[in-house]
Amino acid sequence: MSEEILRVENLHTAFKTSAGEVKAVDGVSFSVNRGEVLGIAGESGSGKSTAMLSVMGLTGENSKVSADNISFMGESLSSENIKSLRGGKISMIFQDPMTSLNPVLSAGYQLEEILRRHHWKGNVRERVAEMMTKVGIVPAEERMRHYPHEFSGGQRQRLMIAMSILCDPELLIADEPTTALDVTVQAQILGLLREIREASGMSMILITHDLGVIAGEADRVIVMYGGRIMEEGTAQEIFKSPMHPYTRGLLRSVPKPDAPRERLIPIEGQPPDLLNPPEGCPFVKRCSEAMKICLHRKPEESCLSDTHRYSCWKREKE
Amino acid sequence: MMLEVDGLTKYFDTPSGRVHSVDGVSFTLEKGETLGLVGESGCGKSTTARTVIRLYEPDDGRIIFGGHDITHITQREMLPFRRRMQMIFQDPYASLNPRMTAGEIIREPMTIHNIPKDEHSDRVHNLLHLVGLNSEQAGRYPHEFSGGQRQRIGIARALAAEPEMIICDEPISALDVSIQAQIVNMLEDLQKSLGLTYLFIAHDLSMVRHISTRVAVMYLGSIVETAPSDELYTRPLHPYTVSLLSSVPIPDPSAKRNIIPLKGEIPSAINPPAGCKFHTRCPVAKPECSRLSPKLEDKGSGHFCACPFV
Amino acid sequence: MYNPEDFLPLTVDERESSETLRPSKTYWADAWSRLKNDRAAMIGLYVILAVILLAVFGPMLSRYEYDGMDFNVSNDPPSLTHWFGCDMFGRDLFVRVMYGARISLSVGFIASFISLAIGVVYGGISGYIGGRLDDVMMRIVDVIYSVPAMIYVILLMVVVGAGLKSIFITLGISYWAPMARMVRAEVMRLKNEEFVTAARVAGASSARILFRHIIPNAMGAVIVTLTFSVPGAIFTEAFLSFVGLGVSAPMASWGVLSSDAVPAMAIYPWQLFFPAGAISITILAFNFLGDGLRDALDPKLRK
Repeated sequence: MSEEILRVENLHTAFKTSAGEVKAVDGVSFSVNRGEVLGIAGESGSGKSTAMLSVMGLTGENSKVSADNISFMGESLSSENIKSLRGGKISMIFQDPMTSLNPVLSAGYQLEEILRRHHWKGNVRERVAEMMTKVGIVPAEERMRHYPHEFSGGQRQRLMIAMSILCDPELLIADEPTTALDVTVQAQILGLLREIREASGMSMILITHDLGVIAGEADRVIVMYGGRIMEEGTAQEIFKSPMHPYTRGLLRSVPKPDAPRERLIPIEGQPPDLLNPPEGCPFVKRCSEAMKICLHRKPEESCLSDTHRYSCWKREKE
Repeated sequence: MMLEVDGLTKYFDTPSGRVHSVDGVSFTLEKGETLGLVGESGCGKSTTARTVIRLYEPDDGRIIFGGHDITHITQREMLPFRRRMQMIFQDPYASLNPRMTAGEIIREPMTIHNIPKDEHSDRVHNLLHLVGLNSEQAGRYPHEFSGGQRQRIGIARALAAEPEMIICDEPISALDVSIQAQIVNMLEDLQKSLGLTYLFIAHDLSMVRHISTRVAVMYLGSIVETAPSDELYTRPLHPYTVSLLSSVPIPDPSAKRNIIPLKGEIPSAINPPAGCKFHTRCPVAKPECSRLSPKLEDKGSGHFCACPFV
Repeated sequence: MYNPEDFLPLTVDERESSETLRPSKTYWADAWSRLKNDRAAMIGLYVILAVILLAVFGPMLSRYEYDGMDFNVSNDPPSLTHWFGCDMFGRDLFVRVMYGARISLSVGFIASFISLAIGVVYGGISGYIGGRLDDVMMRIVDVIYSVPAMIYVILLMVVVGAGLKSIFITLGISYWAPMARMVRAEVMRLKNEEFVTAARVAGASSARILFRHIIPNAMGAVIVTLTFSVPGAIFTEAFLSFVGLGVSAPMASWGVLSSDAVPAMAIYPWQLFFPAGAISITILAFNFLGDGLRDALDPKLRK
């Protein structure tokens, strides 16, 4: 089996709000292997972004993060050593690149700053130019002097990617990197990320609600709902033989590639109320196969293969 | 014929120059059909819809709605047509007034169009049921609903005036995947039971194929191709459509995909390229493309395409 | 350990009963519950209420008159009979400070409500219609804003004489300008909101859009501005009276009381301390409340 880059065991994240405590992530465990793409699929409020921000130590003051174990390349992560890894060996790109770019500093300056912060040995300016060229922002020397607002949406995302790969990261966490982009630009950006991965062997966690993007890019997939992992498996397992009613429901609610006019089968009901989560399975209210036990007890995980596991009471009956 | 749009043009003057948002767009919409309008951000699909419903003053062309020329009539003369032509918005958070209850929001079009007051409560009740909400929810405020439920309120408001045609401006883009299917199914059911005509704008190409009878593809303010939905998706002709469709992610990991990438960025609508606007990014552009201004040509089986080389 | 019944399908009732509904809350109830949790704002609110009660009922309950002189007690320090002491004419300072609160508060509230009425209408029209009209209307605001209040008072004194009337007119003229600017900015923002577009699509008239959709959504910001403008007006009145351009003795506003006390400040410091303290505490209370209201009414914090 290939080398494990990141391991997360039993992660819990809660936020204090004026209306009460919100359990955004509720007992999540997963690992990422070297060179693979782990897709995390889920809707808004599923905890997919929060889980990754928790790992990175970026959840903010009113949050409470706990985990049995978070380790990166065999080394246990603490709030201290994560700081030196962030932007270096582990980097992140977000849906809205503008939130990570300072509007009053030139693009080149901001990229050089990252290299300096991580004590880059070598010519900082050359490295920035090299990475900007790599992501297709040319002529790099000239574009370095430009400010963030002078780049188009797609170019800003390229700039973010250049920023994130400056220090040769082992792991790139991409949080909805293409959600705000048009499909043709999305295809360009996903292609660029693929090229970079193939050249460097970097691992990637791809967080998105778009099942199509997941299917095209991910080796393994985690499906999250209500702060918990519903199902995990290889892309083939998740898309060809989904086991969890939620995964099945998600796949039925988008038009089928081979029968695009067929009536869709939606998941009924509304997303879960995070302030008032059900005692049992978070999906129970919307599940067409829900049973009495689902209301009160959280389902245990069952494994179908080394890679395929899911959390549902349904198997107990079978 | 429900709607006929001919040579519609809309530009905006900005400090950096004139933006040609909609540049000679023509299409027709039959009663009971759904025309999907697709294209990337900035292609003018939303401006087209908002000009058709007279939120913007058209600069050229004609809009014929139900046999009446509504291109340049005053807002007062427009009032009876507003009852027949309604709109559903993209953002279910921004499109509902946060200070009005769901009931008040749905009741407002009835007040405006002088539907007798004593009918209002019954109608609100019926509309809420029609969109899958219950009447107890009439007294609640928008922030107490989820995104999908808010979109239902928006749809009930659009239906309150009993329109014949509804412009759906990206009605599902802001919703979660599992909720999108609920809304799409509901729009389809409403179309069947009420005989509605839809102008459906979206950038989710697979959803547009699912819901539309015909699809028009826009690029930089112009329609480059239009065809019956299945025809367009199985046999795209225009190089832009081909590239656009090849970029759509498919929810199947073993799907063979052959993405035809587009070069560069979408040009500015202030200085659109001369000739065919797509020639700067076209994978099969010929030298003469910068001189020709291709018009939509009939390619058979209801398929029109603005490229002479396909 | 498992009961076979656990694996029966969920009935419709069970599904619905698991549905929890949070109680409905209007915007204002929601804002109030947030404000209640803000200690500084609530202290501010209680102080303001206390000052208002004292201003209204205090002088009635006191055995002294605000202009009743008694030279036996002139310049007496604070004591059990005269809590705040007396001034040089032997007038009880406690009742004078409470009486001054009447004048100061009514100046603050009336000036603010004049600014509310003019500012909302003016800013609303300017922002909603926009274009050239907006340009002209806002330049007028700039001019009014740039002239110091002193100039108005001095000019008005010539016409109507010094006193409360000219202060009201001065504050009325100058205080609506910031309100108008704020309302205009809110209206400009709100008129491009999608729900306003939705109302237009439904066929709503301009008046309907302005009064049903835009103004109610601007009220939060208006109330915050109003709360901040009251202490401003109180302070301006105190300042004008202090320099002798406001009300004059034997009428007592906080500014006049402070002004009267200054010459003997070193000998009878309490004569300055109490009216100045009243001004400070009231202004501070309004600022605390305003800050709290801004946080409570800010829709960005809502989820």
